[in-house]
Amino acid sequence: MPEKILPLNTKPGSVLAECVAEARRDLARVRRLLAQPTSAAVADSAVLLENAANRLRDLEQGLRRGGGGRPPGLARELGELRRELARASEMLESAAALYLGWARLLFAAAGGYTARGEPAAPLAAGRFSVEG
Amino acid sequence: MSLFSTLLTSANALRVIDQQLATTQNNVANAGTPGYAKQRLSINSLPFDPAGGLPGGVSAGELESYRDVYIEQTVRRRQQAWGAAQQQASDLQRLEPLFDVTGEAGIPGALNALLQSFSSLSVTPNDTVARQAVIDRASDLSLRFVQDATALDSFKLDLDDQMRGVVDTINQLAGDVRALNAEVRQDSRSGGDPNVDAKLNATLEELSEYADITTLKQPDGSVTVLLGGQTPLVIGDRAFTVTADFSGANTAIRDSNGQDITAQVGAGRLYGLLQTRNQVLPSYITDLNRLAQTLADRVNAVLAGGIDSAGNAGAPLFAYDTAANAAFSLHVTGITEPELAAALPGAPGGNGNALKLASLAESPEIDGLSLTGFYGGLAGRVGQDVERASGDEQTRQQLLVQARSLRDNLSGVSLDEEAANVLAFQRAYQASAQLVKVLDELTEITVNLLQ
Repeated sequence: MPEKILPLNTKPGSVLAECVAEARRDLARVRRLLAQPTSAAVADSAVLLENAANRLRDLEQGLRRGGGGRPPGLARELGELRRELARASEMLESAAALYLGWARLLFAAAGGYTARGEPAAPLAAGRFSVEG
Repeated sequence: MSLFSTLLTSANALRVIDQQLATTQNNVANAGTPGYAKQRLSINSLPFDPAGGLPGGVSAGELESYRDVYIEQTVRRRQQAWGAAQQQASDLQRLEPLFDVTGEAGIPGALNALLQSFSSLSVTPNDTVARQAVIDRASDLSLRFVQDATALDSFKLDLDDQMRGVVDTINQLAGDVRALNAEVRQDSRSGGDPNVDAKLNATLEELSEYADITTLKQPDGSVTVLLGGQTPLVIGDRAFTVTADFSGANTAIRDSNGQDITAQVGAGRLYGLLQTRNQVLPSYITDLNRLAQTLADRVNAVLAGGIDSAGNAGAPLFAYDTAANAAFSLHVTGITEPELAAALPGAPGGNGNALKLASLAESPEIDGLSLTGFYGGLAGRVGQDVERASGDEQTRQQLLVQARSLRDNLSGVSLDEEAANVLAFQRAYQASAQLVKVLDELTEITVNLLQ
């Protein structure tokens, strides 16, 4: 479950920078999770990404309302956040590319190709087992 | 099901693989290429009749082979990318301390001291101590330029040494592959040896760290290894050596026929070294030469417009051999303190020309920047290059870990599980990719709010 984020518009300025730092740490966790890119790891990443998005949404609202000021460290933290987001995004895209390449082979070998030359989607087939 | 029928299934599967090898290799090699026009892989199911001893389909066994080839190639590509990034990061990190960013040491420290001596001269233009200080500070700065330029040149030699080592390693590993190929050919007649296959894969993975290699499995089980997708390193039981040629301004890599194949090297440690040696380092040296030349020319031009203590036209303070090696050869002329032109013609004993010298501290001299500003830009660029290379290395390392992890996860998984995994991944990916997009937009909005 995403962590509950408190409104920032009444908090001191340094909390805004800490909020970005927290979002960045969420993204670093995503990056570490995706080192083993199972579907479960990607699903867990989505939770962390949602956390980070909530923090940023809250920060955006806080800035729009003018609450908390603009601490000098905020711009730097946002720069770090951007870099971390780029890294996490690259890990996610790379995992997708790995699966996509394998899926092309898998589906083509299992189901052949469509008339358009694309690997055919796998069909659910009935099966039976014999015991005895 | 009897053991015999299982073996029969495997034998049939191997025959199908043999027949479809060319098609499969193309598909595997291009699996990650978007838009690749795929060739049909016509694998037929075998009859299923348990009572008659016919065990059924062969697709799982074949897929494992394709999967192994695909994932091994993916791991090797990641290894190549990491090797290049790691090499560049470690080399640039060693280079960074040469470029001081505080303005207190090295060239910027000495440059600031010279500019400060110009300022002092403008206050007391006829003070012999102030006049001598200008010459002494100019001498210090020249020495700094020569020291740093020489250090950069030595670094070039160090990179060449490393390149020699990397090329030796590539040739040695290619030799290992050649020997393993001979074993594989021998073993293939007796059904293949998994240990030899594992050794071959490990050697190819190690080789990938050093060079941009492509591998093609041959019908006899041996592996053809190409450098940069074109130059043969190993064909069957023959290995072809590559060499590093240090005779030109840029280091070149040559194939066994002496042809220049530098442009074909696009990954691995060799690529990282070539990039630093032939692109990055020369650009730093060029900028250092430009700074040394501009400094010398501008100071000398100002001095030429003034007069010395005896009323004679100003003598030059700096000299260098050529623009291309200004930093390496910068030195102070034999100028003496009385010959320093602090005054302007028509105002002997004044500080008119010393003020002009002092104004060099702020005036735009190179690319719209002051002399210290230009050096700051160069040092900043080095710092950015190091940061980018370090970040790139970390990312490439994680991508390599990711591919290795997937390799471990994929082995021993059934076809059904595999298809389910891919579909599950696809669903999870869509949600995460959407959230990354949202985060990107939110970050952009937040950054704009701060501006």
